[in-house]
Amino acid sequence: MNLVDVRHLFAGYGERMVLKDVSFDVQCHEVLGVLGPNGSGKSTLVRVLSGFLPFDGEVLFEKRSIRELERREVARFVAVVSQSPLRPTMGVWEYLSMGRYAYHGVWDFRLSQRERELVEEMSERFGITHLLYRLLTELSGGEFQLAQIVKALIQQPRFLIMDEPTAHLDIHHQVMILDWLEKIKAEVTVLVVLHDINLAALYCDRILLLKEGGVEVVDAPEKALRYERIEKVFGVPVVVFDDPVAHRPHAYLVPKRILQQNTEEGKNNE
Amino acid sequence: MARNRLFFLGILGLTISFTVVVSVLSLALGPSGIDVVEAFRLWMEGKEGLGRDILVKIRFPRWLLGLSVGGALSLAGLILQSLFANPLVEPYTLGISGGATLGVCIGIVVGKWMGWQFPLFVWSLGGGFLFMGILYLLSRRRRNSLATIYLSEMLLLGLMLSFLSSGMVMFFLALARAADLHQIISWTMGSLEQGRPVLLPWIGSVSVVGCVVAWLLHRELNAFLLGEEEAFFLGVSVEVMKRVFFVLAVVLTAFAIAGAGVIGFVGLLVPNLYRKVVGTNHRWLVPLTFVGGGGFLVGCDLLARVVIAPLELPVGVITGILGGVLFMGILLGEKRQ
Repeated sequence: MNLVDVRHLFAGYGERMVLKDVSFDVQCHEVLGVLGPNGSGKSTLVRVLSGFLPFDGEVLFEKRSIRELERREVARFVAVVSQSPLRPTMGVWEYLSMGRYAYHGVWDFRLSQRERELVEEMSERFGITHLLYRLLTELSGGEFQLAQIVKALIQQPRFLIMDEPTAHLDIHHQVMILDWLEKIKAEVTVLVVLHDINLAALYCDRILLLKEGGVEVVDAPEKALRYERIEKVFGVPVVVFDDPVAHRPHAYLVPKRILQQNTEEGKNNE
Repeated sequence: MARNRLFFLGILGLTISFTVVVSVLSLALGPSGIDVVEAFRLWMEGKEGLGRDILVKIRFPRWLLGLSVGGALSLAGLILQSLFANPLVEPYTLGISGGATLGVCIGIVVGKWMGWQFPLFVWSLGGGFLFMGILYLLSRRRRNSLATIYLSEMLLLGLMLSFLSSGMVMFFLALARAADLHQIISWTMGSLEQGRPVLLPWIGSVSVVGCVVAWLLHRELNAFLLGEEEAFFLGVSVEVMKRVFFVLAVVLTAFAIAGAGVIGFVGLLVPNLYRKVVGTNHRWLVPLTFVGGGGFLVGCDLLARVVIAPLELPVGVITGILGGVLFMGILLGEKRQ
């Protein structure tokens, strides 16, 4: 069953159209990875799906148009872990509890006992209880990324969008963050924007490959990540083979220098 | 380390104590020589006479104006700083004060020529809203652009608007009659002395209502600290809230300027000082900034009255010097950390 349907989407900034006739769907409880070169429209897509950027076309959340929904309703449906939010000198507990904003009115601003427990439960589950009484500015990059994910989950969304959650993180933290995707996908459907093709292949159920604002392919990693398609979209030669451990496609870059050497050696051998 | 409730209550207690002390001194000291004990006795006895008149008709309105204007300016600074997630923003740097001052000048010079008898706060509000409108129109561009230089653009535009308003004020000074000239100059220097009794209830009410509204919207102010986009993702109706906060900041600034003229640095210094001490939770920052701002301006006014007694300095001079030195101290402290 589809949780999100995107039909003939056009969006951009002023005169400049970034997304051109984009159509795809997001199925319940899947992890959909979005890949594409810089400027292909990944972050614009995140902004449209969160309701931030105006668009032409249709975005449906469980068959209801996003345009029909109130701002707080959208925030109860979709939460976003953004790429580089500001980090004020705010306490982590305060920051996490802001995830409940969409569930409160102007006069009703106190967290209920249940909500306090939710903040504690989520923090415990993600192993950040020890950070609750620290300031955001005191956290490392990985800790802050985790805090962002916990805040988004405290929002109790049906649909979680993560815009490059592994950017600027070391491999330990990259794997830690992406491992959590597997654990939370029973509760929430995830759209994750990634730059690393191999991480996307390892952790995503399907891949949406964007090229120049259009959809190149939406399919399972084995079908979507073929070498000719990666070369076409990213403009670099790659070799794709089947990862013998994970049984997912694994791509590695072939530098032009080596490619030229091999070609010359081939010619010489002939 | 995040702070607990007891810490915030302690800071609030200290702020209220400071404000009470400077308030008592402000009511008790002055060139007439009526001291603390005498002032208190006159107050309690309620007898008619010169001493009581000085207390009730001069010192009390001045103190109340100081509290209201200080609170309003600090709150306007806090709101704008949170809205733009930038500690250097305040009504002056964004040109709102310039607009309000220009409005007052036009009211004094042109209004008198043309025979338009509007209260000064109407002129001040008109000028403030005009300049804020220009800034707001620019801020609406952001949603449809990826410009990360948006904030610096806004600040630059605000500075340009400030320069523009200064130039225009000079222009009206050149056109003004001798009688109006003094009024405009004393306005631009800022003083609690010129407080108009008619305006006082208005300024007091606007400040208190502004504080209550800002406190009710403390979660939205907190959300804006994460950036406009993050606030939107949390469910904040960003465009509506931006309008509410802009209007609130303009109204608070315009009434403060109509009541006491141009008083700089209060809106910059007080919120930054409290942010350094208690962090960024507006649930506490709003009341602290409001009470602390009032206390700070009353204290500055007290200094303005005693530094070269029996003569008086405009309070804007004291806030400028004291505010500038303290703010540099905060920045240097931050750099050292």
